[in-house]
Amino acid sequence: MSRNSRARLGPILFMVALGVAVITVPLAGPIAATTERRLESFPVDAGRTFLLVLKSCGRSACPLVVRLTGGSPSAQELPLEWGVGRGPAARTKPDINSGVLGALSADTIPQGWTVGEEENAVSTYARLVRLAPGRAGLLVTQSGGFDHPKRRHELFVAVGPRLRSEFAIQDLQGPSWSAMDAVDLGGDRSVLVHVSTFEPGADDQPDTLEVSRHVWDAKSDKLRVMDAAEGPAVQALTVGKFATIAAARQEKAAKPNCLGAFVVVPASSLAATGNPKDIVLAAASDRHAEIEAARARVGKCAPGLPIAIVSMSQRKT
Amino acid sequence: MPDITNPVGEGGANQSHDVAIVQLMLRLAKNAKQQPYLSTPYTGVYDAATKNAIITFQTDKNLVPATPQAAPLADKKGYIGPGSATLKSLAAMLPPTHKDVTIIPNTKTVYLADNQLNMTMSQAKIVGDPLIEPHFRQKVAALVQKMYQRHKVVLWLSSTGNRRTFAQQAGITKTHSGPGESNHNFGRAVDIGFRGLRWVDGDGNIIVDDDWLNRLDAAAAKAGEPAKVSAFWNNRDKVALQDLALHRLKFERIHVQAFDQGHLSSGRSLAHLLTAVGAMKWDAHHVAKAWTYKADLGLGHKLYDVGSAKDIWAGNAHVTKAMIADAKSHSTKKAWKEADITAEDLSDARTALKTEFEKADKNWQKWTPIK
Repeated sequence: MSRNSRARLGPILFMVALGVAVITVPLAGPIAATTERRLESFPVDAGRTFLLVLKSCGRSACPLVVRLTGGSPSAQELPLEWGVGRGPAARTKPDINSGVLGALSADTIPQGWTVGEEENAVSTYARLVRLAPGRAGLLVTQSGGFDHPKRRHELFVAVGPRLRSEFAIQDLQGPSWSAMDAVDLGGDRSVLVHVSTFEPGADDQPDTLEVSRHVWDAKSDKLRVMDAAEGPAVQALTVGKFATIAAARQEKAAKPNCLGAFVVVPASSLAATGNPKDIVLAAASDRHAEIEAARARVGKCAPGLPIAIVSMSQRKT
Repeated sequence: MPDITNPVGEGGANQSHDVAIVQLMLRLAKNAKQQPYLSTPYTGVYDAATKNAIITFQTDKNLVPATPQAAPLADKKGYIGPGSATLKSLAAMLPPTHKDVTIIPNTKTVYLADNQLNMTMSQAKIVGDPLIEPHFRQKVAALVQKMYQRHKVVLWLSSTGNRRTFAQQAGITKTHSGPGESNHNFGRAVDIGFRGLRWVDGDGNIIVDDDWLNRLDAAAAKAGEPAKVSAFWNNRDKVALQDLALHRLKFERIHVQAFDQGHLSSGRSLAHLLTAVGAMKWDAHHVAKAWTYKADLGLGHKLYDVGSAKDIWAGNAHVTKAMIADAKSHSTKKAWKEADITAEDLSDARTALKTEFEKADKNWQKWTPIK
């Protein structure tokens, strides 16, 4: 299997790609959270199942929990950091703000659940991830807010009958953005790729583009950060070559539909061979096909600008 | 001189802010062997190491008489009171860079007091800014002044935290808000943060932070104490929300606005402004995390779905020949067919819709929040 295939939620993709079935709750319409509702279930193996559950509401908030059933007589349950307000839970498609799609992605899977409107909206996307033989996790990404959306990614792991929160990362305050992807390596192994950006918007300060990759470590039975030289590299598409940060920002502002998802960074921050004086527009992805599609797209909407693909591995700008 | 509000040491109140200040001073003061009296980072939590460091310092400096009864109450062995000789002696040993250390009550992060000049500069920038609605402007300026008076912290507007034009809004991809849908489009919202705050890490190093306190955030997360960051925001909000009746957002702490988000629908508020200042009637409804707009195309019949704010601003409003034919049929009382509508008519309609948005952008002061 190609390393670029994704361990993403979506019944068809999952059944084809991973040989497991994902069961989604049949929907007759939005679900009101007056009683506990099982939004989705994710079979881990013959006995155990992860559940994404919207619990019955308190006076104002409704907790969302991940539950592991089948491992022991009583189910294990952990709350998600961001609960939701009262209101129906509606199926939702991801967008660039969701935290599950990369800056260059035009995908529409996995679907999630949204409760609330505007600033009170919280969308929750859950994905089953085969971390290592015998180790399955549920990667849950939540995004909240309207004007300044924020994202939070948390990995829950089934360890025998127990459920544990293995890893969590949340967007910084300010103009931050992130996406977390699970790259299927085959053989029941995956790499979790976290791409984040920070765009201060100042002409004297570049943006940042950071990538970290996480893999299951059998020895310690924990998730660990991969070394730079290890495993599949994340690529960045770079566009243009500018003398100043301001010039790069101007180009981006002039073509928002074409370059809006790109950040303004020094070329040297992406690849050791880059000229530290050159400023480029950049966006990263762990999927080569996505990078290639974006290269073709940008070639048309920003003709004349030099375009390059660089391997980032695990670099911080 | 840094002071404490209540005693620190055995039998003291040991409030976190007092303990943090004393611990930091013990961390920075060096003994005869040039070793810090407190060998571990300051935490704001009183412990045995702090007690021992206080006693060692007092002994080295002969601050406690041999007979305990002879010591003033504020300088008992292992005990430091406000204004005590031990405290004065510790303060005298602070390096010049740390003379202005201070801390907000009931928090654990020591920082350097800012100065009046910076406060005045920050305030002047706000007061002289025509892109902030006048009444809100006064409140934001008062927020800066009160934070300085109360905590010696100067707040600054972030470089992108002021009013944004619709065109600027259209250039921001990583937001759900389209042109005219952001609270920042109407001069009633600002991002006001802690740029330049000089906080002191556990070992005494001075860290200069950004608008969003992201350096403190990283350090606090590493130490497993995220509350250290929220303590600063909560204290800003005590002034902003309680004293000045301003409002905050749930997920972005730097943002402060003039109105309660719970009483706002950004789409309907924009539609109201569009109708008030333009030539068309408008409405909006929320579908799948985004607002979709309806307009009567200026022909006075029903409202037609014309797409999102982003589409309209980009000149891609969802206008069809059937839509225009229907609207014209009603306005002229004559039957128009789709075939009568030209590509130029479609283009004109899209341009007219965008012109409405441009009028709203120019008339941003007339915007009012509507639920």
